[in-house]
Amino acid sequence: MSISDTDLFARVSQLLDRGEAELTRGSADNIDKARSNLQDVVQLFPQLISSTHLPQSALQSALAGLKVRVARCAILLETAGAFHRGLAIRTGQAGTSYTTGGLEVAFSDVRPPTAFHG
Amino acid sequence: MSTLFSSLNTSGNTLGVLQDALNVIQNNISNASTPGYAKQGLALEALPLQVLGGLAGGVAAGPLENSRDDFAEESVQRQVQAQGYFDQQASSIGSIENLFDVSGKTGVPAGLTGLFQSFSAWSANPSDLTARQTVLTSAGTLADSVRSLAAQLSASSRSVDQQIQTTVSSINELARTLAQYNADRLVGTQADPGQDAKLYATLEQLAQYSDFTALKQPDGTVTVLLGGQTPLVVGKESFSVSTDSAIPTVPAPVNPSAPPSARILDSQGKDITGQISGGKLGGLLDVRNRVLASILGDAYQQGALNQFAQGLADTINQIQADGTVSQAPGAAHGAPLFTYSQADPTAVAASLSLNSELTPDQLAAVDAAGNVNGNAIRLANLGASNTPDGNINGLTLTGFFGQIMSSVGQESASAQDNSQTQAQVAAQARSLRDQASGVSLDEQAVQLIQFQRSYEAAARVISVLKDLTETVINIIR
Repeated sequence: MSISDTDLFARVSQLLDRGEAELTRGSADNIDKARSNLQDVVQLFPQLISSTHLPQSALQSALAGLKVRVARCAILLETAGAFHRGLAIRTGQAGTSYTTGGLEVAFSDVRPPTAFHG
Repeated sequence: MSTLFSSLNTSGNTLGVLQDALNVIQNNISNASTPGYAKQGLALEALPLQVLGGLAGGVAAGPLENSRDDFAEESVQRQVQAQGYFDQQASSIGSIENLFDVSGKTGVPAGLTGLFQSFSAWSANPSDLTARQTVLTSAGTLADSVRSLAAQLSASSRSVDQQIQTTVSSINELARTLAQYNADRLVGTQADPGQDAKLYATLEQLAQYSDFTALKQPDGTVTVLLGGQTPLVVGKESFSVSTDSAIPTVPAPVNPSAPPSARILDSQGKDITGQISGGKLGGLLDVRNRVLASILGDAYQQGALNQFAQGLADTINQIQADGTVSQAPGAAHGAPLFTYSQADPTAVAASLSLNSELTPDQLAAVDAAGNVNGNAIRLANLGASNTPDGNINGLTLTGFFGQIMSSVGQESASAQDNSQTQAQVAAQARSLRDQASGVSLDEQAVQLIQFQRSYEAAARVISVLKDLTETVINIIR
Protein backbone atom coordinates (compact mmCIF):
# COMPACT_ATOMS: atom_id res chain seq x y z
CA MET A 1 0.00 0.00 0.00
CA SER A 2 1.46 3.34 -0.96
CA ILE A 3 1.58 6.23 1.47
CA SER A 4 -1.17 8.14 -0.38
CA ASP A 5 -3.48 5.10 -0.35
CA THR A 6 -2.87 4.67 3.36
CA ASP A 7 -3.71 8.33 3.91
CA LEU A 8 -6.86 8.04 1.82
CA PHE A 9 -8.13 4.98 3.71
CA ALA A 10 -7.19 6.59 7.05
CA ARG A 11 -9.09 9.75 6.06
CA VAL A 12 -12.23 7.80 5.11
CA SER A 13 -11.97 5.73 8.27
CA GLN A 14 -11.65 8.89 10.36
CA LEU A 15 -14.69 10.46 8.66
CA LEU A 16 -16.69 7.30 9.31
CA ASP A 17 -15.56 7.32 12.98
CA ARG A 18 -16.85 10.87 13.33
CA GLY A 19 -20.04 10.07 11.43
CA GLU A 20 -20.77 7.05 13.63
CA ALA A 21 -20.08 9.05 16.81
CA GLU A 22 -22.41 11.86 15.73
CA LEU A 23 -25.13 9.43 14.65
CA THR A 24 -24.86 7.55 17.95
CA ARG A 25 -25.67 10.80 19.77
CA GLY A 26 -28.63 11.04 17.39
CA SER A 27 -29.95 14.60 17.85
CA ALA A 28 -30.95 16.61 14.78
CA ASP A 29 -27.75 18.70 15.11
CA ASN A 30 -25.64 15.56 15.36
CA ILE A 31 -27.31 14.06 12.30
CA ASP A 32 -26.55 17.22 10.38
CA LYS A 33 -22.88 17.04 11.38
CA ALA A 34 -22.79 13.35 10.45
CA ARG A 35 -24.29 14.18 7.06
CA SER A 36 -21.37 16.47 6.30
CA ASN A 37 -18.85 13.72 7.24
CA LEU A 38 -20.69 11.11 5.18
CA GLN A 39 -20.85 13.41 2.16
CA ASP A 40 -17.06 13.70 2.32
CA VAL A 41 -16.86 9.89 2.42
CA VAL A 42 -19.05 9.68 -0.68
CA GLN A 43 -16.71 12.08 -2.49
CA LEU A 44 -13.62 10.10 -1.50
CA PHE A 45 -15.03 6.66 -2.40
CA PRO A 46 -14.45 6.88 -6.20
CA GLN A 47 -10.78 7.68 -5.48
CA LEU A 48 -10.55 4.62 -3.22
CA ILE A 49 -12.11 2.34 -5.82
CA SER A 50 -9.80 3.58 -8.57
CA SER A 51 -6.77 3.25 -6.30
CA THR A 52 -4.13 1.64 -8.51
CA HIS A 53 -1.42 1.08 -5.94
CA LEU A 54 -3.23 -1.61 -4.04
CA PRO A 55 -3.36 -5.28 -5.04
CA GLN A 56 -6.91 -6.22 -6.03
CA SER A 57 -7.41 -8.57 -3.05
CA ALA A 58 -6.21 -5.98 -0.52
CA LEU A 59 -8.40 -3.32 -2.13
CA GLN A 60 -11.46 -5.59 -2.03
CA SER A 61 -10.80 -6.48 1.60
CA ALA A 62 -10.33 -2.84 2.63
CA LEU A 63 -13.43 -1.76 0.72
CA ALA A 64 -15.47 -4.59 2.29
CA GLY A 65 -14.46 -3.33 5.75
CA LEU A 66 -15.53 0.21 4.87
CA LYS A 67 -18.75 -1.07 3.31
CA VAL A 68 -19.72 -2.70 6.64
CA ARG A 69 -19.14 0.61 8.41
CA VAL A 70 -21.11 2.60 5.83
CA ALA A 71 -23.97 0.08 6.26
CA ARG A 72 -23.74 0.65 10.02
CA CYS A 73 -24.03 4.42 9.49
CA ALA A 74 -27.08 3.79 7.28
CA ILE A 75 -28.72 1.75 10.07
CA LEU A 76 -27.94 4.46 12.65
CA LEU A 77 -29.31 7.10 10.31
CA GLU A 78 -32.44 5.05 9.73
CA THR A 79 -33.09 4.42 13.44
CA ALA A 80 -32.43 8.06 14.38
CA GLY A 81 -34.71 9.22 11.57
CA ALA A 82 -37.44 6.78 12.61
CA PHE A 83 -37.15 7.99 16.21
CA HIS A 84 -37.50 11.66 15.30
CA ARG A 85 -40.34 10.92 12.86
CA GLY A 86 -42.19 8.88 15.49
CA LEU A 87 -41.67 11.52 18.14
CA ALA A 88 -42.88 14.26 15.80
CA ILE A 89 -46.00 12.28 14.87
CA ARG A 90 -46.76 11.59 18.51
CA THR A 91 -46.22 15.21 19.47
CA GLY A 92 -48.56 16.28 16.66
CA GLN A 93 -51.15 13.74 17.73
CA ALA A 94 -50.93 14.91 21.32
CA GLY A 95 -52.42 18.21 20.13
CA THR A 96 -54.97 16.99 17.63
CA SER A 97 -55.37 13.20 17.79
CA TYR A 98 -55.76 13.35 14.00
CA THR A 99 -53.33 12.55 11.23
CA THR A 100 -52.85 14.58 8.07
CA GLY A 101 -55.06 11.97 6.38
CA GLY A 102 -57.90 12.96 8.68
CA LEU A 103 -57.98 9.65 10.50
CA GLU A 104 -57.74 9.41 14.21
CA VAL A 105 -54.70 7.33 15.13
CA ALA A 106 -53.91 5.80 18.48
CA PHE A 107 -50.53 6.47 20.09
CA SER A 108 -49.81 2.77 19.94
CA ASP A 109 -49.85 2.94 16.11
CA VAL A 110 -46.61 4.91 16.16
CA ARG A 111 -43.94 2.32 16.85
CA PRO A 112 -40.41 3.12 17.91
CA PRO A 113 -37.72 2.22 15.40
CA THR A 114 -36.43 -1.29 14.93
CA ALA A 115 -32.90 -1.88 13.71
CA PHE A 116 -32.39 -3.81 10.50
CA HIS A 117 -29.53 -6.23 10.17
CA GLY A 118 -29.39 -7.87 6.80
CA MET B 1 -53.00 47.99 55.82
CA SER B 2 -54.83 44.82 54.78
CA THR B 3 -53.24 45.08 51.32
CA LEU B 4 -49.81 45.18 52.97
CA PHE B 5 -50.57 42.07 55.02
CA SER B 6 -51.98 40.30 51.97
CA SER B 7 -48.85 41.19 49.99
CA LEU B 8 -46.69 39.89 52.84
CA ASN B 9 -48.70 36.67 52.80
CA THR B 10 -48.34 36.33 49.00
CA SER B 11 -44.60 36.91 49.15
CA GLY B 12 -44.28 34.38 51.96
CA ASN B 13 -46.15 31.80 49.88
CA THR B 14 -43.96 32.60 46.88
CA LEU B 15 -40.87 31.87 48.96
CA GLY B 16 -42.37 28.47 49.86
CA VAL B 17 -43.14 27.67 46.23
CA LEU B 18 -39.66 28.68 45.09
CA GLN B 19 -38.19 26.59 47.89
CA ASP B 20 -40.15 23.59 46.52
CA ALA B 21 -38.87 24.31 42.99
CA LEU B 22 -35.30 24.46 44.28
CA ASN B 23 -35.83 21.14 46.08
CA VAL B 24 -37.01 19.56 42.79
CA ILE B 25 -33.85 20.82 41.04
CA GLN B 26 -31.71 19.53 43.87
CA ASN B 27 -33.44 16.16 43.57
CA ASN B 28 -32.81 16.13 39.80
CA ILE B 29 -29.11 16.90 40.27
CA SER B 30 -28.76 14.24 43.00
CA ASN B 31 -30.35 11.65 40.70
CA ALA B 32 -28.55 12.67 37.50
CA SER B 33 -26.77 9.29 37.45
CA THR B 34 -29.62 7.19 38.85
CA PRO B 35 -30.57 4.50 36.30
CA GLY B 36 -34.06 5.02 34.91
CA TYR B 37 -34.50 8.50 36.45
CA ALA B 38 -36.40 11.06 34.40
CA LYS B 39 -36.06 14.74 35.28
CA GLN B 40 -38.90 16.31 37.25
CA GLY B 41 -40.22 19.83 37.02
CA LEU B 42 -42.51 21.82 39.28
CA ALA B 43 -45.30 23.52 37.36
CA LEU B 44 -45.76 27.12 38.59
CA GLU B 45 -49.21 28.67 38.35
CA ALA B 46 -49.90 32.42 38.40
CA LEU B 47 -52.52 33.48 40.97
CA PRO B 48 -55.08 36.15 39.98
CA LEU B 49 -54.09 39.72 40.63
CA GLN B 50 -56.81 42.27 41.33
CA VAL B 51 -55.69 44.86 43.82
CA LEU B 52 -59.09 46.39 44.39
CA GLY B 53 -60.71 43.01 44.81
CA GLY B 54 -58.13 41.95 47.38
CA LEU B 55 -56.45 39.41 45.12
CA ALA B 56 -52.73 39.96 45.61
CA GLY B 57 -51.49 37.69 42.79
CA GLY B 58 -48.36 35.66 43.31
CA VAL B 59 -47.46 32.15 42.37
CA ALA B 60 -48.66 28.73 43.44
CA ALA B 61 -47.06 25.32 43.08
CA GLY B 62 -48.74 23.14 40.45
CA PRO B 63 -48.29 19.42 40.02
CA LEU B 64 -44.88 17.75 39.79
CA GLU B 65 -44.25 17.10 36.09
CA ASN B 66 -42.34 14.04 34.93
CA SER B 67 -40.46 14.50 31.66
CA ARG B 68 -40.42 10.76 30.88
CA ASP B 69 -41.35 10.02 27.28
CA ASP B 70 -42.91 6.58 26.83
CA PHE B 71 -42.04 6.54 23.13
CA ALA B 72 -38.33 7.07 23.94
CA GLU B 73 -38.48 4.45 26.71
CA GLU B 74 -40.07 1.90 24.38
CA SER B 75 -37.46 2.71 21.75
CA VAL B 76 -34.65 1.99 24.25
CA GLN B 77 -36.33 -1.24 25.37
CA ARG B 78 -36.64 -2.45 21.76
CA GLN B 79 -33.02 -1.72 20.93
CA VAL B 80 -31.79 -3.29 24.18
CA GLN B 81 -33.83 -6.41 23.36
CA ALA B 82 -32.15 -6.58 19.94
CA GLN B 83 -28.75 -6.00 21.54
CA GLY B 84 -29.30 -8.83 24.02
CA TYR B 85 -30.28 -11.11 21.12
CA PHE B 86 -27.27 -10.33 18.93
CA ASP B 87 -24.77 -10.31 21.82
CA GLN B 88 -25.94 -13.76 22.90
CA GLN B 89 -25.89 -15.06 19.32
CA ALA B 90 -22.34 -13.76 18.82
CA SER B 91 -21.13 -15.31 22.06
CA SER B 92 -22.81 -18.72 21.61
CA ILE B 93 -22.08 -19.15 17.90
CA GLY B 94 -18.51 -18.00 18.53
CA SER B 95 -18.13 -20.92 21.00
CA ILE B 96 -19.52 -23.35 18.41
CA GLU B 97 -17.21 -21.97 15.72
CA ASN B 98 -14.22 -22.69 17.97
CA LEU B 99 -15.07 -26.41 17.86
CA PHE B 100 -14.20 -26.45 14.15
CA ASP B 101 -10.52 -26.21 13.27
CA VAL B 102 -10.42 -24.10 10.12
CA SER B 103 -6.66 -24.70 9.77
CA GLY B 104 -7.43 -28.35 8.96
CA LYS B 105 -4.59 -29.56 11.20
CA THR B 106 -6.78 -31.27 13.78
CA GLY B 107 -10.24 -32.77 14.12
CA VAL B 108 -12.40 -34.03 11.26
CA PRO B 109 -10.61 -32.18 8.40
CA ALA B 110 -7.26 -33.68 9.51
CA GLY B 111 -8.93 -37.09 9.96
CA LEU B 112 -10.34 -36.95 6.42
CA THR B 113 -6.97 -35.97 4.96
CA GLY B 114 -5.28 -38.77 6.93
CA LEU B 115 -7.76 -41.39 5.71
CA PHE B 116 -7.51 -40.34 2.05
CA GLN B 117 -3.70 -40.34 2.28
CA SER B 118 -3.77 -43.85 3.80
CA PHE B 119 -6.04 -45.02 0.92
CA SER B 120 -3.57 -43.50 -1.54
CA ALA B 121 -0.56 -45.22 0.11
CA TRP B 122 -2.47 -48.51 0.21
CA SER B 123 -3.40 -48.23 -3.50
CA ALA B 124 0.34 -48.01 -4.29
CA ASN B 125 1.00 -51.24 -2.30
CA PRO B 126 -2.36 -53.04 -2.16
CA SER B 127 -1.01 -56.17 -0.51
CA ASP B 128 1.20 -54.37 2.04
CA LEU B 129 -0.05 -55.25 5.52
CA THR B 130 1.32 -52.07 7.10
CA ALA B 131 -0.50 -49.92 4.54
CA ARG B 132 -3.73 -51.84 5.23
CA GLN B 133 -3.24 -51.42 9.00
CA THR B 134 -2.67 -47.66 8.47
CA VAL B 135 -6.02 -47.47 6.66
CA LEU B 136 -7.74 -49.03 9.68
CA THR B 137 -5.93 -46.75 12.11
CA SER B 138 -6.78 -43.64 10.03
CA ALA B 139 -10.41 -44.71 9.73
CA GLY B 140 -10.54 -45.19 13.49
CA THR B 141 -9.01 -41.73 14.06
CA LEU B 142 -11.55 -40.11 11.72
CA ALA B 143 -14.47 -41.88 13.39
CA ASP B 144 -13.16 -40.74 16.80
CA SER B 145 -12.93 -37.13 15.51
CA VAL B 146 -16.49 -37.20 14.22
CA ARG B 147 -17.79 -38.69 17.50
CA SER B 148 -15.75 -36.20 19.51
CA LEU B 149 -17.16 -33.26 17.50
CA ALA B 150 -20.70 -34.59 17.96
CA ALA B 151 -20.07 -34.93 21.71
CA GLN B 152 -18.65 -31.38 21.94
CA LEU B 153 -21.62 -29.97 20.04
CA SER B 154 -24.00 -31.86 22.33
CA ALA B 155 -22.12 -30.41 25.31
CA SER B 156 -22.59 -26.93 23.76
CA SER B 157 -26.28 -27.68 23.42
CA ARG B 158 -26.48 -28.63 27.12
CA SER B 159 -24.57 -25.48 28.03
CA VAL B 160 -27.09 -23.40 26.06
CA ASP B 161 -29.90 -25.24 27.92
CA GLN B 162 -28.31 -24.22 31.23
CA GLN B 163 -28.03 -20.61 30.07
CA ILE B 164 -31.70 -20.68 29.03
CA GLN B 165 -32.53 -21.93 32.53
CA THR B 166 -30.51 -19.13 34.14
CA THR B 167 -32.07 -16.52 31.83
CA VAL B 168 -35.59 -17.75 32.62
CA SER B 169 -34.78 -17.50 36.35
CA SER B 170 -33.58 -13.91 35.86
CA ILE B 171 -36.78 -13.05 33.95
CA ASN B 172 -38.92 -14.49 36.76
CA GLU B 173 -36.92 -12.59 39.38
CA LEU B 174 -37.36 -9.31 37.50
CA ALA B 175 -41.07 -10.06 37.02
CA ARG B 176 -41.45 -10.42 40.81
CA THR B 177 -39.60 -7.11 41.31
CA LEU B 178 -41.92 -5.37 38.82
CA ALA B 179 -44.98 -6.85 40.51
CA GLN B 180 -43.71 -5.47 43.83
CA TYR B 181 -43.30 -1.98 42.28
CA ASN B 182 -46.85 -2.26 40.99
CA ALA B 183 -48.06 -3.25 44.48
CA ASP B 184 -46.24 -0.24 45.98
CA ARG B 185 -47.77 2.01 43.30
CA LEU B 186 -51.27 0.79 44.15
CA VAL B 187 -50.71 1.75 47.81
CA GLY B 188 -49.42 5.27 47.05
CA THR B 189 -51.66 8.03 45.75
CA GLN B 190 -49.24 9.47 43.21
CA ALA B 191 -46.14 8.37 41.34
CA ASP B 192 -42.92 8.58 43.30
CA PRO B 193 -40.02 9.64 41.02
CA GLY B 194 -37.67 7.23 42.81
CA GLN B 195 -40.04 4.28 42.38
CA ASP B 196 -40.68 5.33 38.80
CA ALA B 197 -36.93 5.34 38.10
CA LYS B 198 -36.55 1.87 39.61
CA LEU B 199 -39.49 0.58 37.56
CA TYR B 200 -38.04 1.79 34.26
CA ALA B 201 -34.52 0.64 35.14
CA THR B 202 -35.97 -2.83 35.85
CA LEU B 203 -37.86 -2.82 32.53
CA GLU B 204 -34.61 -1.96 30.75
CA GLN B 205 -32.90 -4.82 32.58
CA LEU B 206 -35.70 -7.17 31.53
CA ALA B 207 -35.25 -6.03 27.91
CA GLN B 208 -31.75 -7.53 27.93
CA TYR B 209 -33.30 -10.93 28.60
CA SER B 210 -36.38 -11.06 26.41
CA ASP B 211 -38.72 -9.11 24.17
CA PHE B 212 -41.88 -7.86 25.83
CA THR B 213 -44.53 -5.18 25.65
CA ALA B 214 -45.03 -2.91 28.66
CA LEU B 215 -48.45 -1.27 28.96
CA LYS B 216 -49.00 1.61 31.38
CA GLN B 217 -52.34 1.19 33.16
CA PRO B 218 -54.58 4.04 34.37
CA ASP B 219 -53.86 3.08 38.00
CA GLY B 220 -50.15 3.71 37.39
CA THR B 221 -49.12 0.06 37.29
CA VAL B 222 -47.35 -1.54 34.35
CA THR B 223 -48.57 -4.71 32.62
CA VAL B 224 -45.77 -6.72 31.01
CA LEU B 225 -46.54 -9.18 28.20
CA LEU B 226 -43.69 -11.53 27.34
CA GLY B 227 -43.20 -11.75 23.58
CA GLY B 228 -46.03 -9.22 23.34
CA GLN B 229 -48.63 -11.88 24.24
CA THR B 230 -48.00 -13.85 27.42
CA PRO B 231 -48.78 -12.09 30.72
CA LEU B 232 -45.66 -11.86 32.87
CA VAL B 233 -46.72 -9.07 35.23
CA VAL B 234 -50.29 -7.90 35.72
CA GLY B 235 -50.86 -5.53 38.63
CA LYS B 236 -49.25 -6.96 41.73
CA GLU B 237 -49.17 -10.49 40.30
CA SER B 238 -46.25 -12.03 38.41
CA PHE B 239 -46.59 -15.18 36.32
CA SER B 240 -43.47 -17.33 36.17
CA VAL B 241 -42.27 -18.87 32.94
CA SER B 242 -40.25 -22.08 32.79
CA THR B 243 -38.16 -24.06 30.35
CA ASP B 244 -37.86 -27.68 29.32
CA SER B 245 -36.91 -29.65 26.25
CA ALA B 246 -39.21 -31.90 24.26
CA ILE B 247 -39.79 -33.43 20.86
CA PRO B 248 -42.51 -31.48 19.07
CA THR B 249 -45.62 -33.52 18.30
CA VAL B 250 -47.22 -31.31 15.65
CA PRO B 251 -46.49 -31.98 12.87
CA ALA B 252 -45.57 -35.61 13.58
CA PRO B 253 -41.80 -35.88 14.08
CA VAL B 254 -39.74 -37.50 11.32
CA ASN B 255 -37.04 -38.40 13.85
CA PRO B 256 -38.82 -39.33 17.09
CA SER B 257 -35.53 -40.15 18.86
CA ALA B 258 -33.83 -36.88 17.86
CA PRO B 259 -32.37 -34.44 20.39
CA PRO B 260 -35.34 -32.54 21.90
CA SER B 261 -35.84 -28.85 21.21
CA ALA B 262 -35.70 -26.25 23.99
CA ARG B 263 -39.08 -24.79 24.94
CA ILE B 264 -40.35 -21.90 27.00
CA LEU B 265 -43.58 -22.51 28.88
CA ASP B 266 -45.95 -19.98 30.42
CA SER B 267 -47.34 -20.28 33.95
CA GLN B 268 -50.05 -22.64 32.63
CA GLY B 269 -47.50 -24.90 30.92
CA LYS B 270 -48.40 -23.69 27.42
CA ASP B 271 -45.56 -23.63 24.88
CA ILE B 272 -44.73 -19.98 24.11
CA THR B 273 -41.32 -20.57 22.48
CA GLY B 274 -42.51 -19.10 19.16
CA GLN B 275 -43.39 -15.80 20.86
CA ILE B 276 -39.83 -15.15 22.08
CA SER B 277 -37.80 -13.45 19.39
CA GLY B 278 -35.63 -10.96 21.24
CA GLY B 279 -33.26 -10.48 24.13
CA LYS B 280 -30.74 -12.98 25.43
CA LEU B 281 -33.45 -15.65 25.60
CA GLY B 282 -34.34 -15.14 21.92
CA GLY B 283 -30.66 -15.44 20.98
CA LEU B 284 -30.23 -18.62 23.04
CA LEU B 285 -33.35 -20.22 21.55
CA ASP B 286 -32.15 -19.36 18.04
CA VAL B 287 -28.73 -20.94 18.65
CA ARG B 288 -30.23 -24.00 20.36
CA ASN B 289 -33.19 -24.71 18.08
CA ARG B 290 -31.89 -23.44 14.73
CA VAL B 291 -28.08 -23.29 14.56
CA LEU B 292 -27.25 -26.38 16.67
CA ALA B 293 -30.26 -28.30 15.31
CA SER B 294 -29.06 -27.70 11.74
CA ILE B 295 -25.80 -29.47 12.66
CA LEU B 296 -26.93 -32.10 15.19
CA GLY B 297 -30.46 -32.67 13.88
CA ASP B 298 -33.86 -32.46 15.47
CA ALA B 299 -37.32 -33.94 15.05
CA TYR B 300 -37.57 -32.81 11.43
CA GLN B 301 -34.01 -32.79 10.08
CA GLN B 302 -31.07 -35.18 10.26
CA GLY B 303 -28.48 -32.46 10.84
CA ALA B 304 -25.50 -31.69 8.63
CA LEU B 305 -22.94 -33.55 10.78
CA ASN B 306 -25.08 -36.73 10.72
CA GLN B 307 -25.57 -36.34 6.97
CA PHE B 308 -21.80 -36.10 6.61
CA ALA B 309 -21.12 -39.09 8.87
CA GLN B 310 -23.70 -41.24 7.11
CA GLY B 311 -22.49 -40.15 3.66
CA LEU B 312 -18.89 -40.97 4.65
CA ALA B 313 -19.70 -44.39 6.11
CA ASP B 314 -22.16 -45.45 3.41
CA THR B 315 -19.87 -44.39 0.54
CA ILE B 316 -16.77 -46.13 1.87
CA ASN B 317 -18.70 -49.24 2.96
CA GLN B 318 -20.33 -49.44 -0.50
CA ILE B 319 -16.98 -49.16 -2.31
CA GLN B 320 -15.66 -51.86 0.01
CA ALA B 321 -18.69 -54.03 -0.84
CA ASP B 322 -18.17 -53.40 -4.58
CA GLY B 323 -14.58 -54.75 -4.45
CA THR B 324 -13.01 -58.03 -3.47
CA VAL B 325 -10.17 -58.86 -1.10
CA SER B 326 -8.16 -60.68 -3.82
CA GLN B 327 -8.16 -61.45 -7.54
CA ALA B 328 -8.95 -65.12 -6.88
CA PRO B 329 -12.23 -66.33 -8.38
CA GLY B 330 -15.02 -66.19 -5.81
CA ALA B 331 -12.96 -63.99 -3.46
CA ALA B 332 -14.92 -62.35 -0.66
CA HIS B 333 -16.20 -58.80 -0.99
CA GLY B 334 -14.80 -56.20 1.37
CA ALA B 335 -16.33 -55.86 4.83
CA PRO B 336 -17.78 -52.51 6.03
CA LEU B 337 -15.11 -50.12 7.32
CA PHE B 338 -17.50 -48.11 9.50
CA THR B 339 -20.52 -48.88 11.63
CA TYR B 340 -23.12 -46.52 13.06
CA SER B 341 -26.51 -46.61 14.76
CA GLN B 342 -29.18 -47.39 12.16
CA ALA B 343 -32.02 -46.72 14.58
CA ASP B 344 -31.77 -42.94 14.72
CA PRO B 345 -30.69 -40.77 11.75
CA THR B 346 -29.73 -38.01 14.19
CA ALA B 347 -27.33 -40.27 16.12
CA VAL B 348 -25.09 -41.28 13.19
CA ALA B 349 -22.20 -38.93 14.02
CA ALA B 350 -22.35 -39.75 17.73
CA SER B 351 -22.18 -43.50 17.01
CA LEU B 352 -19.77 -43.59 14.05
CA SER B 353 -17.06 -46.19 14.74
CA LEU B 354 -14.48 -48.28 13.00
CA ASN B 355 -15.90 -51.77 12.40
CA SER B 356 -14.34 -53.57 15.36
CA GLU B 357 -14.54 -56.95 13.60
CA LEU B 358 -12.66 -55.75 10.54
CA THR B 359 -9.17 -57.14 9.96
CA PRO B 360 -6.61 -55.71 7.48
CA ASP B 361 -7.05 -58.65 5.10
CA GLN B 362 -10.78 -57.85 4.74
CA LEU B 363 -10.03 -54.58 2.96
CA ALA B 364 -11.05 -54.86 -0.71
CA ALA B 365 -8.32 -53.45 -2.98
CA VAL B 366 -9.49 -55.28 -6.13
CA ASP B 367 -12.26 -53.67 -8.17
CA ALA B 368 -15.08 -55.43 -10.03
CA ALA B 369 -13.01 -55.49 -13.25
CA GLY B 370 -10.27 -57.42 -11.46
CA ASN B 371 -7.72 -54.58 -11.24
CA VAL B 372 -5.47 -55.34 -8.28
CA ASN B 373 -5.67 -51.82 -6.81
CA GLY B 374 -8.77 -50.45 -8.63
CA ASN B 375 -10.91 -50.32 -5.54
CA ALA B 376 -8.16 -48.78 -3.40
CA ILE B 377 -7.68 -46.06 -6.05
CA ARG B 378 -11.44 -45.43 -6.05
CA LEU B 379 -11.28 -44.93 -2.26
CA ALA B 380 -8.20 -42.68 -2.55
CA ASN B 381 -10.04 -40.59 -5.16
CA LEU B 382 -12.70 -39.70 -2.59
CA GLY B 383 -10.28 -36.94 -1.57
CA ALA B 384 -10.27 -35.47 -5.08
CA SER B 385 -12.61 -32.65 -6.05
CA ASN B 386 -13.99 -34.42 -9.15
CA THR B 387 -14.85 -37.79 -7.61
CA PRO B 388 -18.19 -39.28 -8.70
CA ASP B 389 -18.44 -41.15 -5.36
CA GLY B 390 -19.62 -39.88 -2.01
CA ASN B 391 -21.39 -36.75 -3.11
CA ILE B 392 -23.70 -35.17 -0.54
CA ASN B 393 -25.95 -32.46 -2.00
CA GLY B 394 -23.58 -32.23 -4.97
CA LEU B 395 -20.49 -31.76 -2.79
CA THR B 396 -17.59 -34.10 -2.05
CA LEU B 397 -17.19 -35.36 1.51
CA THR B 398 -14.46 -32.77 2.15
CA GLY B 399 -16.52 -30.07 0.42
CA PHE B 400 -19.64 -30.91 2.45
CA PHE B 401 -17.77 -30.76 5.76
CA GLY B 402 -16.16 -27.50 4.60
CA GLN B 403 -19.64 -26.14 3.97
CA ILE B 404 -20.68 -26.98 7.55
CA MET B 405 -17.64 -25.08 8.86
CA SER B 406 -18.22 -22.21 6.49
CA SER B 407 -21.88 -21.78 7.39
CA VAL B 408 -21.02 -21.71 11.12
CA GLY B 409 -18.26 -19.19 10.34
CA GLN B 410 -20.65 -17.00 8.37
CA GLU B 411 -23.27 -17.17 11.15
CA SER B 412 -20.59 -16.19 13.64
CA ALA B 413 -19.24 -13.30 11.55
CA SER B 414 -22.75 -12.01 10.89
CA ALA B 415 -23.64 -12.27 14.60
CA GLN B 416 -20.45 -10.39 15.58
CA ASP B 417 -21.19 -7.64 13.07
CA ASN B 418 -24.82 -7.36 14.16
CA SER B 419 -23.74 -7.28 17.80
CA GLN B 420 -21.35 -4.36 17.16
CA THR B 421 -23.92 -2.44 15.13
CA GLN B 422 -26.71 -3.06 17.62
CA ALA B 423 -24.52 -1.86 20.52
CA GLN B 424 -24.32 1.51 18.72
CA VAL B 425 -28.03 1.55 17.87
CA ALA B 426 -28.86 0.88 21.55
CA ALA B 427 -26.41 3.61 22.63
CA GLN B 428 -28.16 5.96 20.18
CA ALA B 429 -31.60 5.09 21.61
CA ARG B 430 -30.32 5.76 25.16
CA SER B 431 -28.77 9.03 24.06
CA LEU B 432 -32.02 10.18 22.42
CA ARG B 433 -34.02 9.09 25.47
CA ASP B 434 -31.66 10.98 27.79
CA GLN B 435 -31.89 14.09 25.60
CA ALA B 436 -35.68 13.92 25.98
CA SER B 437 -36.01 13.04 29.65
CA GLY B 438 -32.61 12.71 31.29
CA VAL B 439 -31.14 15.27 33.66
CA SER B 440 -28.96 17.86 31.94
CA LEU B 441 -26.73 19.38 34.62
CA ASP B 442 -26.27 22.55 32.50
CA GLU B 443 -30.05 23.00 32.19
CA GLN B 444 -30.53 22.37 35.91
CA ALA B 445 -27.78 24.89 36.74
CA VAL B 446 -29.53 27.58 34.68
CA GLN B 447 -32.85 26.82 36.41
CA LEU B 448 -31.13 26.83 39.80
CA ILE B 449 -29.79 30.34 39.18
CA GLN B 450 -33.18 31.46 37.86
CA PHE B 451 -35.08 30.24 40.95
CA GLN B 452 -32.37 31.51 43.26
CA ARG B 453 -32.79 35.02 41.80
CA SER B 454 -36.57 34.73 42.11
CA TYR B 455 -36.14 33.62 45.72
CA GLU B 456 -33.86 36.59 46.43
CA ALA B 457 -36.36 38.94 44.76
CA ALA B 458 -39.25 37.56 46.85
CA ALA B 459 -37.14 37.87 49.99
CA ARG B 460 -36.34 41.48 49.05
CA VAL B 461 -40.06 42.21 48.55
CA ILE B 462 -40.74 40.86 52.05
CA SER B 463 -37.98 43.04 53.46
CA VAL B 464 -39.45 46.14 51.75
CA LEU B 465 -42.98 45.22 52.91
CA LYS B 466 -41.68 44.79 56.46
CA ASP B 467 -40.16 48.29 56.37
CA LEU B 468 -43.38 49.69 54.90
CA THR B 469 -45.48 47.97 57.55
CA GLU B 470 -43.30 49.37 60.33
CA THR B 471 -43.54 52.85 58.79
CA VAL B 472 -47.35 52.60 58.55
CA ILE B 473 -47.57 51.39 62.16
CA ASN B 474 -45.39 54.34 63.30
CA ILE B 475 -47.61 56.77 61.35
CA ILE B 476 -50.74 55.31 62.99
CA ARG B 477 -49.14 55.73 66.45
